Amino acid sequence: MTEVEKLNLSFGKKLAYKFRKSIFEGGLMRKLSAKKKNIIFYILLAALPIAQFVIFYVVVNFNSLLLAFKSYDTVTGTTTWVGFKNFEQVFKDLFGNNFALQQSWKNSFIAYGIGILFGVPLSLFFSFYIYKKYLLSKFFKFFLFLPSIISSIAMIIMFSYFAEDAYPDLTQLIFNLATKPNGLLSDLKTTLFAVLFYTTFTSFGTSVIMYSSAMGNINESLPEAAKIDGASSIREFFSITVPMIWPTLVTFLVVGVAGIFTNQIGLYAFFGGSADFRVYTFGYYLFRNTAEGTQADYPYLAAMGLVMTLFAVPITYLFKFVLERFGPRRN
Amino acid sequence: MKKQCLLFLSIILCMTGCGRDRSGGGEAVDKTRSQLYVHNFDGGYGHEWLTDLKAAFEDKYKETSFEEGKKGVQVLISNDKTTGDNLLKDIPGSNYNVYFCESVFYYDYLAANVMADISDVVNTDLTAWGDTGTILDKFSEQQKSYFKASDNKYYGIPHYEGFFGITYDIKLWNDEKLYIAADPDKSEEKVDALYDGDDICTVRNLTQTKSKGPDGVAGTSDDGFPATYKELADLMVIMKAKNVIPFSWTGKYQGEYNNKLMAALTADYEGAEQTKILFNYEGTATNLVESISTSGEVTKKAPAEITEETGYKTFGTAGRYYALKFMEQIVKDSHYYGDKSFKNTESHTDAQQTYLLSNPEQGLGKSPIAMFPEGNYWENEATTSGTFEFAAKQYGEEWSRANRQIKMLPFPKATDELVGSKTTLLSTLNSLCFINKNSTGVKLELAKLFLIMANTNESLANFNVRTNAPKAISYTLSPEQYAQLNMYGKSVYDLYHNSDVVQEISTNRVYINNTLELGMSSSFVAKVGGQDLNNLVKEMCPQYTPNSKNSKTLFVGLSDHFSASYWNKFIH
Repeated sequence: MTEVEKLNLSFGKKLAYKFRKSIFEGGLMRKLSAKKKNIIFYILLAALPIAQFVIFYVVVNFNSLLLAFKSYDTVTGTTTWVGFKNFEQVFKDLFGNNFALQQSWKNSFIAYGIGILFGVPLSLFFSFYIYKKYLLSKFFKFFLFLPSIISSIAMIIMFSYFAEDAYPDLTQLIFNLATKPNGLLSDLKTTLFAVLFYTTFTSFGTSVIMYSSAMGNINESLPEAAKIDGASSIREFFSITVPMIWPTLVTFLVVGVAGIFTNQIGLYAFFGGSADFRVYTFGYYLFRNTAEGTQADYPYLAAMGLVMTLFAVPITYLFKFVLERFGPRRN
Repeated sequence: MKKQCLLFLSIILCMTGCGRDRSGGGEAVDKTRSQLYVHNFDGGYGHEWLTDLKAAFEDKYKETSFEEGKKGVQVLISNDKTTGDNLLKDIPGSNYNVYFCESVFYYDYLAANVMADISDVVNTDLTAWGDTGTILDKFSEQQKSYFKASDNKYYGIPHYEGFFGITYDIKLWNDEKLYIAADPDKSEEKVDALYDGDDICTVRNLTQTKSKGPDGVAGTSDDGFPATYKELADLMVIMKAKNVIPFSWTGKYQGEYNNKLMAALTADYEGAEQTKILFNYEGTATNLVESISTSGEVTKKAPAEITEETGYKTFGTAGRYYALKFMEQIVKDSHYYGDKSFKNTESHTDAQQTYLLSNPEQGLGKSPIAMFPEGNYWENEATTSGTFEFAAKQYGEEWSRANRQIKMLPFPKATDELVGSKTTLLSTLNSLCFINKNSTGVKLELAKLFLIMANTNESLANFNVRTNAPKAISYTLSPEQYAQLNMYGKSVYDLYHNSDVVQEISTNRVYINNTLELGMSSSFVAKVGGQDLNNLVKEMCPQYTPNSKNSKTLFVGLSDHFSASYWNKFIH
């Protein structure tokens, strides 16, 4: 009788015993080196996440790519290859008379510009303040990161009440106005400004954390030496801090370029699908039409996504080149 | 050992993503009975009606064995708000057998091949169910045409209706004597000389004879209410003098909701057959506008044939002009709408609360609101959000849902000539019930029986009684069932069953492939001064638009936007 037969196990248990023995007791595993065992382990651990990435990102985006060359007929449920017809319509709309997209060009670049002119400098300033541990720096760190922790819908509701109720009441009171002004969101003259203010304010959390962490990695001897030489905080900021964190800054700025074509600046959360055309951005146009459209709309939107990628890629590389070429050096 | 444990844990974690949804709404599975899984869109109409249906179905089959070793049926219901494409992608992998849903594009679901063939269900003789005819007999001609797929089979049954209308606060009408008098000379008030020759007057007391209202018939429920846009405009002047706010709506979704209201007004003007042309692009259009005089008088063109190629002409139909004109006369004076009606903080449920509490809270310095334009389902939403309950607790039982004196009534008519014409309602909810195609064997058999039972007259009537909302296929309420409805529910039932109902559904290729731009409510986009304007009501509102436009300019702008050249992108 074999060892297994001596144990008098049921069929299932015999199988499990043999498997265990073959894998862990001198079978397959014993023949493999420790390195190979590690490799097998890592592969097994990473297999599912990689499979998910391939299926839900690569394959899905590849399907989107193919979808851009098709049209879908809702009545028959069939897709037809139409070549570049969708792209033709996209270019006509982007550079023609589609008013919503004309406004999107303007507003998307304004949103990015506001981010560059105000968002980045203010983030750097706040980060430096926190890094230098000036007065109430911990409070500012918590306060600036708070919008990133609180649900975005809750934040938007709070801001809406401020913009629509508190602001008109306060303005009328402070300036002793005869009539109450309109809310910042409901008055088209101030809608875009209010939304951009909100998105800029709520973007500080992540960027402040990243910049202040990068600043924390600066060798302490550098600012100390600068202080000894009589450098002011402002001089230290521009001559030491910014050059030392420049790679981090470049990463944020370069990634932000793609955001020109995808950032909906919170418009859907504020207005649903009913935002005025005059505050549209590319991101909102794509999101809103995808959320509220039918399958017949998807090929056109897929083509638009690809066209925007074609615009974004060279702009991104150019921006990266310029920042790296002409930016401050660490040395 | 550590690595083996880590590997084991990783495998377990990965497995958490697998497995089918066995949700039964929290009810434990009874292994002595056969199970049927039902998914319900738990929106404005809730799920009490489905709970009743479940109880009736389980009771009917409690002694029947569908599977060996089991007797009876257990219906497990899951209620949530998943709908549209989000629901579509879940169906193939789910274990739900029957779906009741909303905002579902039937042809998208057909194309995705997720619905079972229910031709036998809709053609079942309902005699054994205590009803007459078949479910298909209850379909309108429009529904029969739309729901019959290209293979001549049926895969879905229309579920419930949703249409926009105006709710009137009857108690306010009584307290403020806002009814329009039949004989102006005997009334205590006259509108000032601005409206000379056409003045209306409101009644001195409630026993005084009221005007005939929009239906043009004396002695009906709409007596004393504005019959025309002109009477409404005159009445709003009186309301302003009485410190009554004529209208209020949601500020956050005012663009969408006002567009829906305008679509409903367009349909009411056009009538059923002309409204269908607006999205079928087939037929003879008789209301195309030639010109509009400075006084707003419309001259129509000769009737014109509409085809897919000339569908853009439908944007020049008089109904759209009058819809804009209706809204213009409201927003041109900030006293005619609530102060939150354009504020982003006023959601649709907030607006319901504002309206419902405005009357009882007059003592707190608030002005009561007379009319509330919304979908007929709003009363259910206000119930779910607890507004009626709050009002009853705070201000007494007369403000509860059961006792609240509110009614949905026919729209005023655009012109005197149309007074007395039948109301046309535009149904837009795209609500559907169907069987999951992956249901087989006993599950399929039970699903079919359940769907049949859900569409008998008894179940359809019970749905109406429970929700105050009409079902989308034909049914009647018994006098006893009608008596169970509150005032609002009776008014909705009466309005629905005395109107022509047009579902905004079409198999026209141009329309169905471009509903995002060509839908009745989404197509209120006007080109003015080189700009496309998509929030037309706000454009007419001086409070928010300094150089506000008038209805005529925006109406011309509709045709300018949907020009022949622009239309080419839809047909090629």
